[in-house]
Amino acid sequence: MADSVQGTFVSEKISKLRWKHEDFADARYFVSGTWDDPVNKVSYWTFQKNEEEELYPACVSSSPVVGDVTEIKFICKDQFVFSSSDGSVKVMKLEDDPYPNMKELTEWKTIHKFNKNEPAPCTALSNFEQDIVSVGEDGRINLLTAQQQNPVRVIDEADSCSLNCVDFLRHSEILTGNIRGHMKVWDLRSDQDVPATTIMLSEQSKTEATSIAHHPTQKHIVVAGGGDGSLTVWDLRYNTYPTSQLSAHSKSVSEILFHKDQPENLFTCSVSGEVWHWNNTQQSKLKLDTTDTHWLNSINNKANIHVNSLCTPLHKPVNSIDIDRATLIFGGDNEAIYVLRDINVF
Amino acid sequence: MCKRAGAAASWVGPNKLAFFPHKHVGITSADQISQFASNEVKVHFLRPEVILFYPALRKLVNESNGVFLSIQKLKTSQTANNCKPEMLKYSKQYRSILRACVEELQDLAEKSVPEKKALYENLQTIFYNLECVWHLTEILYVDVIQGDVVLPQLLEWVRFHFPSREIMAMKILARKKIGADLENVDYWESVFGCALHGKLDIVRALLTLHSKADHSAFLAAENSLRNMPVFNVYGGYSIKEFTIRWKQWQMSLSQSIDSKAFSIDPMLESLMKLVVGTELWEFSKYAEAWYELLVAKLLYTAPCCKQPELARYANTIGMKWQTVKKTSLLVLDNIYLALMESDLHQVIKEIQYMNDNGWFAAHLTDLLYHCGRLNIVDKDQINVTDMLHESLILDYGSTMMGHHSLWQCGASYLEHCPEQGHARLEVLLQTIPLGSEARIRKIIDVAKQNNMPEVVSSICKIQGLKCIKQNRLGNALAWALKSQDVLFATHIADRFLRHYVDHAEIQCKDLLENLGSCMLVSDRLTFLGKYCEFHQMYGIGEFREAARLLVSLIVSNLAPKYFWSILLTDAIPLLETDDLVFSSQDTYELLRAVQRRGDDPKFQDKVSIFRLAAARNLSRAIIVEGNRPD
Amino acid sequence: MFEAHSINAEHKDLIHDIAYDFYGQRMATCSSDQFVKVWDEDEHENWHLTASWKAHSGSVWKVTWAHPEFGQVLATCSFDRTAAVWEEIVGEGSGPGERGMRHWIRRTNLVDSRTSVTDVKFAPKTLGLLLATCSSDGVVRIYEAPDAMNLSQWTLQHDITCKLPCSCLAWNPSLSRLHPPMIAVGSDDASPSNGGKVFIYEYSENARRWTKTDTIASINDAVHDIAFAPNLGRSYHTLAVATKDVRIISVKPLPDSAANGQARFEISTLAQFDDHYCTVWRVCWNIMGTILASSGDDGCVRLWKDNYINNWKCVAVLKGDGTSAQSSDNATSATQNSNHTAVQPALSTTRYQRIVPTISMMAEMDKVIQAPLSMNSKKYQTSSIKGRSNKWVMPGIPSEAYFEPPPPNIAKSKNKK
Repeated sequence: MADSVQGTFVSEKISKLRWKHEDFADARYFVSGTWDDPVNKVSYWTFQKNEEEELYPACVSSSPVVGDVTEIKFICKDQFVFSSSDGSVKVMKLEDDPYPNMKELTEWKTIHKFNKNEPAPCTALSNFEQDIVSVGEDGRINLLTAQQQNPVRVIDEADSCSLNCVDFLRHSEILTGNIRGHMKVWDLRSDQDVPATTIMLSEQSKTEATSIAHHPTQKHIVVAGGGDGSLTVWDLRYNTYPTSQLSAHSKSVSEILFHKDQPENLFTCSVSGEVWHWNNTQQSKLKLDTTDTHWLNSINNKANIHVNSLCTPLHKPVNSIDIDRATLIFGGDNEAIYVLRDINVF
Repeated sequence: MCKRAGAAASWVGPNKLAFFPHKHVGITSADQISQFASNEVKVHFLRPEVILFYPALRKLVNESNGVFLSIQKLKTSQTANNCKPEMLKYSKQYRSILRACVEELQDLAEKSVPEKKALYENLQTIFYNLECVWHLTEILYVDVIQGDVVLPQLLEWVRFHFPSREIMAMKILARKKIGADLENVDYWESVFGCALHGKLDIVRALLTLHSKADHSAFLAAENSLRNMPVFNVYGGYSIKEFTIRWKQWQMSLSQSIDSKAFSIDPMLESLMKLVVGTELWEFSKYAEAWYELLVAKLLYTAPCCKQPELARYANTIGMKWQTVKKTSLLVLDNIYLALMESDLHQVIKEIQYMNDNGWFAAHLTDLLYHCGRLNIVDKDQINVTDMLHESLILDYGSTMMGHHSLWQCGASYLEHCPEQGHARLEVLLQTIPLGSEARIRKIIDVAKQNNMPEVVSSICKIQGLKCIKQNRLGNALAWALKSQDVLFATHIADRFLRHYVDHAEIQCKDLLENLGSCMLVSDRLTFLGKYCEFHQMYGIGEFREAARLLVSLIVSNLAPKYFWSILLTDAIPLLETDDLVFSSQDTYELLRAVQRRGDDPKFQDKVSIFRLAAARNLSRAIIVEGNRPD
Repeated sequence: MFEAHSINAEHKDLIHDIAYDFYGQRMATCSSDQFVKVWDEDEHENWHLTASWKAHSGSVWKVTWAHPEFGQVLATCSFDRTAAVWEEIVGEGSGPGERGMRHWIRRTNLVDSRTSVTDVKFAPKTLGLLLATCSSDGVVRIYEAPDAMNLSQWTLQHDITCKLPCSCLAWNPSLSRLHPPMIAVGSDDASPSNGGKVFIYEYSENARRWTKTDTIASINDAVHDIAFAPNLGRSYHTLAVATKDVRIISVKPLPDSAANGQARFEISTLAQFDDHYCTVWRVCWNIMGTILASSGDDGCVRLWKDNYINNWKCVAVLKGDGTSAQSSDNATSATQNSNHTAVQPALSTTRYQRIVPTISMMAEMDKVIQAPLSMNSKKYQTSSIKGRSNKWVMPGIPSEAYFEPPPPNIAKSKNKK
């Protein structure tokens, strides 16, 4: 499998990579975000054949970004929203006619700020269809909707520490994680600016929460990655204690990703340069299993988890991964985008 | 202005220099307005331009960083000296990176406006030359050549880098017309050019297109060229056998020449003299570089030349080239010569002038170092190999550390400098501007990986200070805890407590209530955490637990002076609760505390209330306790 | 090639000192106009003036930054016999926008000196928040802020009397616990008969005082500036001295010397350069201690670097007029100085290009000159290579037979395992 990893150097550190999924076909485009240069970019990529008849990523359009790109999410087939460390969030539209192009639709400028007007990095965002939630180092939560220029709702002092990650669990519920590993569930139906529940990533180590993902269909199953490389799983229906907790990567977890169509497959990447594919070896049993016990909930007791390293670890952090069907893209601080084809997802 | 007044300079960061006019004023001179007061005062910033920071070259920087690190890994994982095949693989990877780079520069040059075009073409030349040197180094030092016969590889090298004659020949051949010598003015030039490179297939093909190709002389020449033995390791002959065969062939060709077999065409005759090894220098006009002649010389006179003998041939040809061509050897020529003479010290000295900001010197030296091919002694016969190797990598790594974004790449070079790398990384890492917390985490990660707890602590503390300035006390505390700096944590805890004293409000409750064992880092923070817990208990009506906490806070004596009046005041409502929450023992403690600490002016008006409440509570407690069966 | 740009420092008289913060993103300047100015660099490398205030009632000689762990803190010293500690505050007063003017508050005024305070330096942060000053009456004073978070309280911990007027001082930045705190002090007393002009003081933990442990006897001329190189793991300390020439001195602690009363150090001169042909006023190390910049009345800044066997060489000469010539907004000063080109026959800009490679490559100057020539003469047909594995395509190939064996099969490095 390792042989089919194809790397393209792009001269910028990649912070985010997201496929533009197609309905009934393999994705042909993806978007990328970069970080750590004075001016960064969001770029729109397709695949072209080189002289050796290999498909390799080729940039078709890019747009400058002040600050680091900190998150990218597609809110519909051809629109994505991205956040930047200068505190703003933008919606972009991808156009293919007459030529591939990106167009800015909406911008929320400096919606994260310290004191009155010093921009604060927006660290993460998540969306539920057109509804967007952004969090930042200012501990603020902004609720946005793609059609509306003003934030729908702002929770100013949602957290007294920097918020690192956020996940839209369902249309009325979000989960945030901060640099102390405090995870807060917010019920958006409530007018009160207080969290419904607070849970801890880890009682002891107090490491930061770096990323959150929920199971695509069983939305109560939530996985969070920690600054120490650990993965923590909760079943939010039952209680605030994690159902399983495991030290996984040797360094901070950068992203966690469930396969959209095959949620038994989980992908993680890390600052350690690793890209891992998690799934359960007892697939047949799981396929029959229509109850809602996901293997993630029982990793602690059974050692039947299959973790597959998708490539030899890079020498630099891997910041982002995304998968479309059997094709995975990942990229990071070594300024390259890697494409991995024919991944065994089942 | 600088000239008239004198100048001074200060360093900015690792590689920038600020330059300003400056006149020294001695201790004794009076403080008065200088003669330059009317001039505009300028500060000039100077920085060496680093071409490697161009986007087009960052690919090279990053990709080669990956190869470099793979080689370092190999070093640690392999013990024996048997890593040769891998080293060749890595050498080829480096070259492929260089070629990709040249290719990209070429594309860019084609697409660019004229001003930029020159730049890209210039860069292209630099990196093309690097690849060429690397290629030769690889042949002579990295590749394991069976039997040590270097000629086949050298031929390949020369052919690859001087393709013009072959291209010329191909054009002629493509027309497929007899009489090519009459129609193409460059016919013989391409014949000789190809012959110098040992491309005898092409030479023969060209001969068949000559207007007199049917003549017996041409047929004989074709035949002789076809039968020329070419040494091949896998050809089944030993060097000895081959030499005998080759000598026989040479002898018979020599006889043919002597018998005027080729005299029908003087050019043909010259060609055969070249091939038989008797003429060489008259063809120097068909060569662009001395080493083209060198390989021709080897091919036609010493095809089994081994590496140690190469130096002699190279030196002779190199020297004669200068007199014949009336030129002097340029830097590149000197590098090739030094490579062939196995003078790697000289090579490394020379390749530092390649205008590539040290990329080449660092990576090539490192490769040779790991191949075990580097053994440099200084003029006092002291082995300085390690020092030289390290200094080149240190320099390159430090250059990379000076870039806004390539610092991670730079750090990974310094990590592999056993002598000075750690100390230098420690200094440079701390001077990286911090930026967003995501960036800070990445910097801290590098510091942790290199076991630099002080650096981690310092960075966390600086970020904490920044948070205080931004009025983010909670986040400041989070960073103070990461920094494990006791005094700093204490300072922040104090700020929280003072805020409570002034505003009767606990800030950042969400954080303080969940400190857990982290609060133990400082006494003041422990106090703050416990005091928060007290409020929490009190808030949810757990008065007994609240009272217990309060007493322990008072007994522990951790409270800062300015906070005692608050603590004692907090006790009053608990002394008055319907359910008894303080035991007699507790009450004594409270009274003792008032005795010692109750002199705070802010508490003066409450002392009597406190004493009264305490007395009432004491009496209740004694009654309850007295009624309790032992 | 050097990239250069210039700013107008907006001072009304000559600048005496420029100091950069730890990250090189903030710059403080001080001048005879009694003002101190602070500049901040944006992400596009433009400098913005963010504060300017009259700091003293005399020329401000030196300005220096404290380590960022102590906040945004400056110290200045002046002809008005005082030294001062300044802290930047944000909040209430700061105007809109990130780059509004900042406010600096004088946290303390150190008035112990009776003469001009000639230098002020913060101690390495591991020693706490300590400040040393020296003055023309020959007294070195060490102040301490016992609570590093409170910059208003400074106590005079020690005063050390040197017998000669002091012009400059330097803390040894070595962070090793093996060395006691060390200060070097220079005197610009001009009389050679007064002996050595650089003194080394060390703090004795037991005696709780600073004592003079050595005098660099080899330097008898007036000393104008001294600087310790950051000690990155060497067994000796490196001190640069600006006197009538540039000296690089190694100060090597001798083991067990304290006990038996012998010399504490083995002091030797690593290098001595009189290239400036005039008095050297300033010396400054880069952050790694690898390159020394020296400057003098000749208007040149010379850069010195050692190689892997500690051989010091001049690697570049930067000329004031050269700098000016490179920035177009400075055309006047460039022409002003055109009459000096006789000294350096080459155009100053070309001179820059030539010295370039030496900056990073420790080359000898004469050799470097030919390097660009051979690089620029495009000897080889680079245009013929195309394709990653050297596929220079032969047009109209007659038959397979003419193909040479494929060029070395280069593993495609982009196919990372």
